[in-house]
Amino acid sequence: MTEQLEYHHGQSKAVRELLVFTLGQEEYGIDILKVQEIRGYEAVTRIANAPAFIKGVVNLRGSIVPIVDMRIKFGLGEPVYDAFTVVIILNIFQRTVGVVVDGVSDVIQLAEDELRDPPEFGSVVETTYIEGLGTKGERMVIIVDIERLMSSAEMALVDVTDRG
Amino acid sequence: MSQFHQVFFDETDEHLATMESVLLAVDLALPDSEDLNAIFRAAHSIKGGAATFGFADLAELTHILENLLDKVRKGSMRLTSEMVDACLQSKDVLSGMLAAHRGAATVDPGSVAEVERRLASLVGGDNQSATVAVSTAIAAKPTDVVSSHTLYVELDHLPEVDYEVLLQSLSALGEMTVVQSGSREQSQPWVLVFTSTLQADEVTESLAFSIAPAHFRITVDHGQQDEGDFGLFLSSSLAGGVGEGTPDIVFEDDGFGLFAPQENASTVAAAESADAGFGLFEPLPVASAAIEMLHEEDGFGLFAPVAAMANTAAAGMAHEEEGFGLFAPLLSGPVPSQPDTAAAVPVAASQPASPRAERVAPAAENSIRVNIDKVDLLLNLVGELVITQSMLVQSSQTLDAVQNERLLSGISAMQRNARELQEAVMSIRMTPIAFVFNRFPRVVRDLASKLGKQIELKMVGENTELDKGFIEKLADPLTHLVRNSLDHGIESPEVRQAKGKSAVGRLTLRAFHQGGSIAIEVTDDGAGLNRERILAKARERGMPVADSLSDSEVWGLIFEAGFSTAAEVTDVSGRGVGMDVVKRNIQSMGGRIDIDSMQDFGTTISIRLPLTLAIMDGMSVGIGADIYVIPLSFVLESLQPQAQDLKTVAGKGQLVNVRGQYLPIVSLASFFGHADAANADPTRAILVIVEAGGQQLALLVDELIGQQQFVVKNLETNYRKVEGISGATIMGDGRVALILDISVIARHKQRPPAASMRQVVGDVA
Repeated sequence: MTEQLEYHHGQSKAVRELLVFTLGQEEYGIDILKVQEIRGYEAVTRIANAPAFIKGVVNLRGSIVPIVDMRIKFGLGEPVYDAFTVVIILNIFQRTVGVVVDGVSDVIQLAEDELRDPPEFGSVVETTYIEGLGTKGERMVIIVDIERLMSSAEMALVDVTDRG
Repeated sequence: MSQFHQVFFDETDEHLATMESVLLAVDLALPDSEDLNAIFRAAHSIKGGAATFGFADLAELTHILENLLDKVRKGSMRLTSEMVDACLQSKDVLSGMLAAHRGAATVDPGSVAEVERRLASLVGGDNQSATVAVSTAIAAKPTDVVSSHTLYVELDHLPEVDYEVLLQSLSALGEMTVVQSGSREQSQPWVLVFTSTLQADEVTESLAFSIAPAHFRITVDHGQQDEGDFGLFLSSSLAGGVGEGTPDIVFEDDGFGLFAPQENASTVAAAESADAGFGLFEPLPVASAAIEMLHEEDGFGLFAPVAAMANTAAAGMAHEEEGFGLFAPLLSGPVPSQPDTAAAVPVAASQPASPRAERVAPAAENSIRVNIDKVDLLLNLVGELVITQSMLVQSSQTLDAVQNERLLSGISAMQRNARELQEAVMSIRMTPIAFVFNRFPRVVRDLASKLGKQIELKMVGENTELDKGFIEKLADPLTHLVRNSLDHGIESPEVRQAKGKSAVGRLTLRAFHQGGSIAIEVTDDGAGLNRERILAKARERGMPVADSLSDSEVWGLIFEAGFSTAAEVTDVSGRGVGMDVVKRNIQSMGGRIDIDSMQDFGTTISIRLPLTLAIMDGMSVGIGADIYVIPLSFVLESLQPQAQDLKTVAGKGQLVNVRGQYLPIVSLASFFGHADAANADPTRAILVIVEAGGQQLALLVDELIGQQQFVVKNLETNYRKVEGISGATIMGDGRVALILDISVIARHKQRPPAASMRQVVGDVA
């Protein structure tokens, strides 16, 4: 592992650092530079007439931050909220958004040759927000373009007019 | 050097603002010497700064302006309204130049030349004979830049002048010897020998700051020269050149640095001799200046030649006859259409427009400039502190009061401190409304001349403070309202007299506190809105209006989008901002706007704004498990209804009888789609009666929690706009509560239309 890391540092340009989180049995990776912090889940204030995966808003040191439950969004895992529920706070387009996931496993570095194109599922699976698949030995990490996902119309996180 | 540019720009802005406000306030018949000095000082400071920082165009124009002001200040010329006009015009051009240096579009060189020509001709005006002799005397040695001058300075001894300071400041500029000390008893003047690189008129300028020009004399020692050349060396050097119709432009000599640039005598002779030595003299072709002036006509409507005035008037008349707008077309008859009457109008109109009774205090204050972001950050942090503090209070309530006495008293002291701190920080954002009002004397003056009306502007309550954020946003809507009043509200003098009113129209701007909000009123004593006209227009546009509409409902129609467009075609009101935009702007600030009007008595448009955007008084209510905040300004009362007061309409719509009035009940739980509301039965719940948009309704909530101040947070910073929610706030326990947008709820009275819901849900599926 150590060797591998050094090797990747050697060609730093091609290396991507990803934060890996789990939803059910699947592992997803997002660009670590978009991550502001990781917190536990706290009670939210629900927002009227918002889609089910938008849990509501919380007070994050004085700013009002919306919380999205990815488990509900992707229909994966059990949306239970307990002491182990994890919220990843993301910084996207100068906005702050919290994302509820089943758990955060680790941070991985992926070289270019460990990246695979997103698979073609036809219409069975929506792949617009999947940048590719990362392979680390036996592991397969689904790399999500979190910025694109969060600003998409279906997330209803931003006003249509704001998106430019 | 460039790091100081911003400071220079800011300062120059202030100087220009001072200059304008004083110019507008100055009494032509009896100008206060302090006012004249203030204008001169402003021009002088700008010139000095501009020369230091290398803004030659600014320095050059202010130099000419200064020459004129200096003469007026010293009493050698009488202040005329034409001069005030010219000074205001040059103020505009200077502002334009300043903006250009800041990166905006460059100023039209034609307008600069026009202003310079105007100023120069004023300087040359009646003083030609008096100053030519003097300026030739200076011209004898004008190019002598490096060599020093020896001047004999004679100062009258005045009790109010501190001579020690004066002499000290003089000796800082050059070598000074006191030949004779002044004394009051023997009415003996001070006599000084002063040797420096400064010219006589520069010394005059420096001295004039401390001592009135009439009380000192400066003599140049030219070796052979005798007392014959005694007298004031006025810096009216342009006079000679202008008299001959060649407005020379004097470029400042950069070498002079911080000192005021040298006042070069620019008689033609001097120009020739100076050419070789230093400076650039660029003769401006008179013919082209004249042509440019013609091009400028529109830009300076006020000063346009007679023919142009007639044109504008005629054009205005043509517009009027198209029957624009809501006000009766009062103007068409008396609009002056003969050139000679038109020419007389601006002069007549300009006088009543200047507020004589009240002096507008210059905006200079002892203050520091702080980026607004820093203040907002401070405000946020204090908000946090207040929240943390209420958390502490909450958790300390379970503690034993005896055992933890010190801790508890500390917490209560902190509570007080935090609140005071919050108030203090809030007050940083508060700015007097004078910042908005100050532009109106000028706007009204210019417009009055342009429209040929006589207007007296009165401003009341300029010191009323409101949030800085509002100040900027208020400027456009208020300007629009003022222009509307002037253009369509107040009639021309002839019509007014025919109606038995005084020829001078009154426009009043008033700002005052009313309850928890700030009221701003724009009142005119003009024709008032025309009910029939508005109704006719509404029908024309296919709006369903009945004759039985109340007046306030009729007036409300002019806020409809597109309604007032026809009124916007005059060049005065045609700024692309309709009344609908005014209303939207005001509403976006959380305010509301009302009209009160009476035929031939006038119109009052009143704007009500919350004190500040950042903090709000609210009532927190419980709905199911959630807490919502109702802005207190909307709340009339809350009550628990009796069963017999509840009525239904068509079996569904619920009404409650409050003292004879039947108000619709809106269940907030169903409005927001919460299934867990405890009480669907109003007799077991609470009704909060609110008023918005002129109608009352009863909001059904589960419980009242409390009334307190809330720090308003924007929901859209990280999320999106939510129907029926105007923002969010953080409660004492750190949780988020949403603030209700009562006017939206009042409009819909039920859940948002299904269409918007489907869109969201559909995307999810």
